[in-house]
Amino acid sequence: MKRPYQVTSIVVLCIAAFLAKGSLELRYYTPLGPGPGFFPLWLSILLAILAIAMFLQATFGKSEAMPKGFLAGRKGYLRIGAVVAALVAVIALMEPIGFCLVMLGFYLFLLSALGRQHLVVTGLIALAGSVGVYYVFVHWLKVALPIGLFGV
Amino acid sequence: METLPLLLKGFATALQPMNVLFALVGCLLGTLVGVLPGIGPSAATAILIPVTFILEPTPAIIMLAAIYYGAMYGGTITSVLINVPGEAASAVTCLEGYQMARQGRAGAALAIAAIGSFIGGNVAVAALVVVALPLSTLALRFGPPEFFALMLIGLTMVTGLAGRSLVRALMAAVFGLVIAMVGIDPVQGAPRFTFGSVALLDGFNIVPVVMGLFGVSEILLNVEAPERQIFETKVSTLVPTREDVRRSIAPILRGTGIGLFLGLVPGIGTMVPTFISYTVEKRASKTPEQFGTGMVEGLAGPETANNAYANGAMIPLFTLGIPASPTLAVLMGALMMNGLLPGPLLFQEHSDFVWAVIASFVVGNIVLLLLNLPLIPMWVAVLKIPYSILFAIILGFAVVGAYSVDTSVFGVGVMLAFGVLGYAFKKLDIPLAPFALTLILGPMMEKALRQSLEMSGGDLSVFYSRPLTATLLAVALIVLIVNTAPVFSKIKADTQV
Repeated sequence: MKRPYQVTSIVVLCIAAFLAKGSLELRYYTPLGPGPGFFPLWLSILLAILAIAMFLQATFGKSEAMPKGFLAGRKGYLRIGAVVAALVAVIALMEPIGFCLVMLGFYLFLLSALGRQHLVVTGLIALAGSVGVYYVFVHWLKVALPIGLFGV
Repeated sequence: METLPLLLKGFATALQPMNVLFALVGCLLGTLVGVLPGIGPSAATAILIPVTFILEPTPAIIMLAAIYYGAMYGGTITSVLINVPGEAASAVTCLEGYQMARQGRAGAALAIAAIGSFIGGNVAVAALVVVALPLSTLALRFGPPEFFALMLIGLTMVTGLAGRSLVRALMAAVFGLVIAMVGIDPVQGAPRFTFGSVALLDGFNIVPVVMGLFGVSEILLNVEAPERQIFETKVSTLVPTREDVRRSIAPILRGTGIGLFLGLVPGIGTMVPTFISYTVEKRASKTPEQFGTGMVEGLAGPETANNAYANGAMIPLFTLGIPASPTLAVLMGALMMNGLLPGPLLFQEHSDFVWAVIASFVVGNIVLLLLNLPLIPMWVAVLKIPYSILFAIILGFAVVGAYSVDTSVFGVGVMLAFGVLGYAFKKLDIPLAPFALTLILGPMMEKALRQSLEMSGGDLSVFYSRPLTATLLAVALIVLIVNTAPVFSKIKADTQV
């Protein structure tokens, strides 16, 4: 686990530097007391110290063995990719196309990507998860969901 | 004595048919999500917050609290039946509960767990009733410096959630504070790290953040592995033998004490009480070598401690405004979304609400005991649903939940982003609990610190010249030393090898 922690600590150090730069643009202290930049600056310093500590631990400390399954196989990453892609599509399309159609596609895609089910089962879940959920949330729970192209 | 009329009034509200119904629905939903793999009580409570949007604050919080302790019990079912803890606190239950199930005693194991949970939970509620008013009255004397010191105690407790590395736990805690900082500055109103985005001016809402961190990340971890069919165990009769009951009495009493005491300590986490209870039972046993083979003592104690802790942890939440676990942080977020700030003022300004919710804990515990045991065959049927279907359904609900918080896809984006971050954290063994706790405590702590320094004109003596502040800061220091000492002795031991 040496390399993953070294990489993580460098990424965290970069985040700390970015935070420090951003907080220096805010007022550190005002006549009334600490300003909006006070807390972020100290947090960025703390984060940088922790990143350095992690790097030193990973480089010079006792190395932890990489746990079994740390890296997923190709199929595992494809399934993760499918979940992320489905959610990205929801974010991009839900407001222009509408909740029902997007969620129908979301369920049809995910159910076939994560493990093939019987077509009828897939269809029923997709309908319940899209049209059914829309009906329950909009009509019963009075939670607004996006209406898109075809009025649904 | 002034507590009794308030509590009775609380019961009158909690026992109204609609409130009982919401407690019932909450218990069922909570148990369902506790049973489902890949979603713990934190994400479950967060996902289901939108369901309570149309409700008044009292039934909404009654339902969310019922989801919380329902999920704690649901985790027990999977631990006993399939050796998979539905949530972290049930991990210990696997050790003896699953072995009992393999011996054909799953029903007895679940019944003992339910009875122990019922006793532990109700004793903890009784403790909450007794200490609530005195503690909140004491906390009313707190000014910003005392609140800052109190929040600092909560943050130092984070070091107790360190897991295997203090550095990684602290890093998670600081990340939580950094995320909490995004948005309008709480004192002077300046935007911070919003990158010109209007959606970020209000900061990150805790609901999609928690759904991502705990729910989506868990699903990403689960879908990595090929799909597996997991349920094989048959559930026997639910009636434990007389011998089971006799052997469970002392562990249940000890578990109640352990869970309740640790519930009072903010930030200890849900796993610690169950592990301590298991260790105590093993030490108290005349046959410790048989632990791991289905000893009912090793199930009764931790299960009781788990529920006593879950209910006992409501004491610091309601009286001081300190959430002891990520799930309680979500519950606190839900309270705040309903315009209620947990802490001493809650008992002053919303007395009817808070006592109704406290009374509902007793109602919920009874509902759990009466309803869940007969429904175990239904939960078993749920476990037979393929993971791919469950994950798709959970993700679908998460999307609806994240969207409805702000009626915007921004929430879904936040959920996804924090899901990926949570996945990376879990892979790197960076604990998520400190992140969630500091996310809630951070803004309050910053506000208290800055108000304290404004009060004193920047003079730091405000933190040690006031006896109460100095005492609380001393407690924070002691907690820090107690929690970090084992880490430093481990480093010393490692360097001597």
